[in-house]
Amino acid sequence: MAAKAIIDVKDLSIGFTASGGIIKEVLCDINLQVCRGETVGLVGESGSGKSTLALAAMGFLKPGLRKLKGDVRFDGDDVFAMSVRQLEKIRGGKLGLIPQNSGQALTPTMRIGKQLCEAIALHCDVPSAECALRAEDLLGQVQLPDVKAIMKRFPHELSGGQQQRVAIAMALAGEPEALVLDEPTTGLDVTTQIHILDLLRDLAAERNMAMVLVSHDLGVIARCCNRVAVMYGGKVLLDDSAKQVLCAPKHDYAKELLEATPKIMPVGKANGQSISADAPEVLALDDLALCYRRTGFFERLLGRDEAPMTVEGVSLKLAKGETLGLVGESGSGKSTILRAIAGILSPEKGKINVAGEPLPPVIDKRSSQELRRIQMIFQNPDEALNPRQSVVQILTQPLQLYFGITGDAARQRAAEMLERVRLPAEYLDRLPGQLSGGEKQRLAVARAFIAEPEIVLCDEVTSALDVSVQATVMELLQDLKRERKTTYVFVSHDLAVVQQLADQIVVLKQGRICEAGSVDQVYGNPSHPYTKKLFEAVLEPEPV
Amino acid sequence: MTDASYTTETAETSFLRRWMRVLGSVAQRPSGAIGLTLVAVHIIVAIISPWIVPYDTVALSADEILAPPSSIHLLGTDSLGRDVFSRVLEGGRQALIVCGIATPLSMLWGGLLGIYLGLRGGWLDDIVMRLVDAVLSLPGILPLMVVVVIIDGGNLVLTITLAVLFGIPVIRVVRAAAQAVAARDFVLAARARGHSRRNIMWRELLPNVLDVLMVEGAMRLSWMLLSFSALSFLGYGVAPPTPDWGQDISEARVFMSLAPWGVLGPMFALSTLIIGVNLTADALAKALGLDRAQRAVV
Amino acid sequence: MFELIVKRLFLGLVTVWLVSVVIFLGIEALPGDACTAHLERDAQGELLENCREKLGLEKPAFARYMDWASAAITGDLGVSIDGQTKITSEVALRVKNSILLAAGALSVGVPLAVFLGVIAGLWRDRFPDLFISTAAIFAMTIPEFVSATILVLIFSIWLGWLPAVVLTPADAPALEFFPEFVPATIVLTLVMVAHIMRMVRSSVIEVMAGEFVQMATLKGVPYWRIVVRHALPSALLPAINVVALTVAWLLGGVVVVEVVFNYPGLGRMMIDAISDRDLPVVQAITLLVAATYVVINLAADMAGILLNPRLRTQLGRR
Repeated sequence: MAAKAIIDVKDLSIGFTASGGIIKEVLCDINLQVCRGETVGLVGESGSGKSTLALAAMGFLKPGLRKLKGDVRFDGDDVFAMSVRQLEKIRGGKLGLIPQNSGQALTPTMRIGKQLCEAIALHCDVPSAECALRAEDLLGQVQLPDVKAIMKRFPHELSGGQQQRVAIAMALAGEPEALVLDEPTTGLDVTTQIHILDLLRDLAAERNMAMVLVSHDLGVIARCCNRVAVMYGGKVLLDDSAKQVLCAPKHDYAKELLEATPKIMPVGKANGQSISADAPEVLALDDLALCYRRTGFFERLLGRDEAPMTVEGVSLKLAKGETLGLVGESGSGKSTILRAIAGILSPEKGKINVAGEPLPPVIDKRSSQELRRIQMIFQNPDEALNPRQSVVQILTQPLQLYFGITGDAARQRAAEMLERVRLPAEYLDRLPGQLSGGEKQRLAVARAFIAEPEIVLCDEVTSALDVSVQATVMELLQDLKRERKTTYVFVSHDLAVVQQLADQIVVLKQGRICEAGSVDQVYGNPSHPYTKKLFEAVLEPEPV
Repeated sequence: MTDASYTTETAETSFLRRWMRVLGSVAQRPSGAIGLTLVAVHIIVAIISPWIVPYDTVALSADEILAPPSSIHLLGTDSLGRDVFSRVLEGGRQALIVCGIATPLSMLWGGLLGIYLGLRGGWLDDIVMRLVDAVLSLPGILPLMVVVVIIDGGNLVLTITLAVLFGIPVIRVVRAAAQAVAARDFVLAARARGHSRRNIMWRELLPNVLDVLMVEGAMRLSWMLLSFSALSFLGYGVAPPTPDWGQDISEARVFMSLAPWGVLGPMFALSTLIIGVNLTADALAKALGLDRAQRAVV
Repeated sequence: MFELIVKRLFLGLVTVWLVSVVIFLGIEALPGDACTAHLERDAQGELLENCREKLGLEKPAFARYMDWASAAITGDLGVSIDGQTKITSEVALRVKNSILLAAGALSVGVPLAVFLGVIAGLWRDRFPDLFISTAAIFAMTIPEFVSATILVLIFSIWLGWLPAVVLTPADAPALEFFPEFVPATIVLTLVMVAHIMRMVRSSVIEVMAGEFVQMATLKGVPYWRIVVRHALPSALLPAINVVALTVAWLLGGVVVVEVVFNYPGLGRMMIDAISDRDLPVVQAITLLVAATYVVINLAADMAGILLNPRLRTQLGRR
């Protein structure tokens, strides 16, 4: 490398003292150089140490962690040897940070203008009268509209994308030579994500900045980075050009990661399952309209309980063994529809039919058989499994409820089901807290299938999981579907994931269906402009 | 029910194991260790005191009035010539018996109602919570005093009144905790499966609210002991001549300048008991991860 | 936002009304009535009938509630059971004295508690915190009559610096209570400081561990500037509610301290009424104190809404 690295990490190890005085390493012998004008992506699954490394580049360690050996140099100076004064000067000055969650990272009690001016005043020699002008200029550079109004707002009054732009403006305030980006687009909708990433890429090029981009998403990395470092278990396994890593990685783990990452497949290649035309209809929604009513005592007293409809005019039909993919951005009402089918939310209008019979709208009115037929799997297994119940209790509850099976017979069935989702039978007496994330989600799948359902509602079931785990859960769902001819309603924001499983697609926007059709039809030739926009925003893990 | 054979059994053993572990980690903290020791000593003394007191606690002695501490009377005598040390040893029994019964009762009814309201919501919840707010706005120990003064029924009435009054704040705390749990996906999942409300309360909510309830109970016990002793100090608690710290302090205050030992003994005993309960409650909250400050950092 | 304030006010009114119902029904539920309670063993024959007639106890409960409540709204709390004193004027005197005591405790206690809480929170688990937190546990748990007794023993009896009890009559002007009310103020301040300080401490710790504080650090903001500008505004907001609870407690619940120091405040009046079994007075004071509690908490809620930008806009939008 010809250019001198601006961020230079040498033999860095970071760890903490665990109970019993054992030192555990979080980062282990890390070497990483980042030069001006270069964007390095740090990619890895949760617990790989990528965020710790990025923050260590700023001389910051989370409480409890300490440096064991090695050093980090910024522009030639060791950041861990710097005085508090020097650190204050560099951080937010030559070395800026863009945090993961700007909604949490902006001070809630300070107006945007004030926070920006503070950053400017701390790092630039600008007379205080000009601070506001500089701040407005910066907000303009990150393409925020109506900067004067935004200056006067509080962080919570902005949307997620706007908050992220403000955070970028704040990092730019100190005229940085390098930026650390810690999962800068996680939690944003796909259409917003792509705008933010492009903005960052342009800014980096324009100002010849060095960037360290932390992400779990190879698609994000692919969009911005020249170089990629793949991390696992606190080590850098592979440090190579982005092209090489994304096309022909020279390390097995990187290869696995790449393979596990869902990609949108060419039309016709996906799925390959045919539903016979005479398969009986299992689920039909007819002109469904839904809303969340929040009626307190006072509202009812005033007779004011009108709420805007969250979902309106949704009709669809599903045959046995068929999978419906419901896609849309956050707030599009996809989970709301699932809740209505599950009976947790009673529809304002419209009908739900199961196997031709109308389904009573609320749970209390549904018979045990009607309830058994529909089971649900949730996004986050940590939330969906009672932490105080053992695996066997979790699995036998549906058995007792629907089939009246209890005692040893139930335990036997639970063990069989556990095996079916490829978990060992010893797990029966464990608590969910003793299982890994992927195991928990498979347990949740087992709990749904032990009821022998005909319809399974999947609510973003993979989005809380690491990609390698995602793949195994998807495979499991695929197998169970083939084996049992189960009908899925599969909700996801990730078009690539949906394509793996779905036969039919419904695209939702603000609670209305904007496009519906077979997978091949919608993926091959999206007709609605919004669908087109969604597809354009998909980030493929391929070099740009 | 005969079906519960295997599943509940494993649940119970792990339940017991969990609470033994919690107790262990309470005892490992300095505050918890001191607190548990203080409470244990007080309970043991309260149980065995009738057999170990050197003198009859109610025996009057005209020629030994306000005698200073000596080898005969370790803490001297009071204005009626009774042995202060003996009265200090026995003075906590009434408080411990009454509060020891009333606290679990208040946790039981307050906790169950709180869980029910947290899950049910709706108009009943609205109405009950308004009532709870109204009762909680009544000043301090006043309702307790009024009841005890008007109904002259001794410890039984006192226990019932304490259990009723101290259950009300428990409703509020437990309801808030139950509401938080009820919003989680596993409760939603149980509702979607079609379990009955009783089943959800019992299996999904209670185990997850129990931590909050236990910490609340420990805090309530400490407040209850405070109220009991205040009541007793004001002359509405234990009927004389039964020894009781609050009442003895109030009697001995009159002669405080002549015989300070009369107040110091019971004051020390009372304070150590309440501090002990409080330290234990604090350590319990930390051990269960319910301490706000603690949770923010870990 | 206006709508929300109206809503809170309305709910406050509902609570005050419910409080009056709860008090009335609570007293109805006790065995006997105001006259049997007051007369005790003499409660029979002519004496009892005269008393009942005087208080209008023959009327049905609902009518009595309406009479009591409608009079209370106009500020007339009735007369004491012996018919000698007008409750309203006596209460007014006592309220003045209780406010004096509360003001003394608050003016010292609140700043001190906030200061100690911030120090303890910032130096969490290190020397100043360990010292302050341990002291707070003692101050919080030791019964008021115990700390009061210790205070009197040391400063009045052994050192002779402070008066042991208040001898000034209830209707004396405020200035004459000085320095007699000092010991009572000290006892109340101790308890109060401990409660507020613990609250502030955990709030400061929580906020300082927050993401925006980490962000400010990584923006190069100096530590003390982070504390003062970024953290404290969020950390001190919840303190408003605790302070409100304390104010309400000081204005009505300090029975024990007022008795110990013989201070002629509302708490003393309350306990005297209870020992005289004077239910009309008890009923009146309870209502007054409970209503004060509701109003003060309402005020704290409103202050919280006005000071918290998050709540402010959330409500503005509705």
